[in-house]
Amino acid sequence: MNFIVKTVTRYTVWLIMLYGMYLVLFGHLNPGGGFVGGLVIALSFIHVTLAFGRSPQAGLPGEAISHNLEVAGAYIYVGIGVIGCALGLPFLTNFLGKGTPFTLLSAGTIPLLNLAITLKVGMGIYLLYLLLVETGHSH
Amino acid sequence: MPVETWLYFIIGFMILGSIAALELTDLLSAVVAMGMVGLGLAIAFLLLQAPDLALVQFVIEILSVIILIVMLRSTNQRWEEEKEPPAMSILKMAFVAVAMIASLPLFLGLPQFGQPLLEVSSHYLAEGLRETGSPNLLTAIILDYRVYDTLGEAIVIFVSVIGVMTIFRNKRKGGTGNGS
Repeated sequence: MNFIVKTVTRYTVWLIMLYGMYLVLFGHLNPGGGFVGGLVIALSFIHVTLAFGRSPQAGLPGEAISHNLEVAGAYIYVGIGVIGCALGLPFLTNFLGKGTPFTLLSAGTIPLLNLAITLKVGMGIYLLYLLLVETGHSH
Repeated sequence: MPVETWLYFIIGFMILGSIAALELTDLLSAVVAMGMVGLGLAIAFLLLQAPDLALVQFVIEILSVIILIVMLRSTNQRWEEEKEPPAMSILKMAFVAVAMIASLPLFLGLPQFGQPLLEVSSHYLAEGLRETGSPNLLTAIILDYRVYDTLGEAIVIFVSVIGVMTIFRNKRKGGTGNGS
């Protein structure tokens, strides 16, 4: 891509990523959540990939790392459910304390599950993009 | 103006966009018209006061347009080459019209807008904040009351990623496939 696209990307991509993190962390208070937050973070990665290509200087995770992060998201999700089982509650029960409503640390396991879904969806979509685009270019 | 007028306007806009996406022979313009339909749907969700859905729809639409344009660029095929004969499209349109007229009694029998048949959501609205501690009731539903559904969605994405990985890794490595 040309100079203009690269410069604009350099100044805007962190804002996009920050917005994605905001959507994830405040997903139990405001509209948002793990799914859309993960998608916005994946879009910020895709933004860098489109502007700079897959150069190692960009510092983006490759296919192996993003696949590992995705699997880690799935393990965290199921692990939270199994911890509930170990405490004698049904699978995936909200076993933590509810806390004060309208504060960041509240709503029990919901923010943790949001983080797990972020890893799962964000890294999964980014990996799909990498696979589709890489294979398309190699022909 | 009431919300319904805006909704009719946006839905008409979306119908025009989808017809354009079907009829254009320039594939890039067709992708842009398809993106217009999705963004119209996101604005319709905003007007119906569903900001969570509107966010997801905006982001998914941007992502799908990006992926389609990149795929279009990598296949180097800009124009649609085969067109179906006009008699065939007239036949299809007649079939769709007959199906719409035949399903009209079904739509007339639906409950009124805003008065659903299922009453379980009223329990969520009344007790959701107390039972889950999450002021965003949509997150409370998908990650507390319906947490098994979300696990199922995560598994769907996981399986689709694994499927794409399997197909494309084989294609890249082997060279025996017909693509390479």
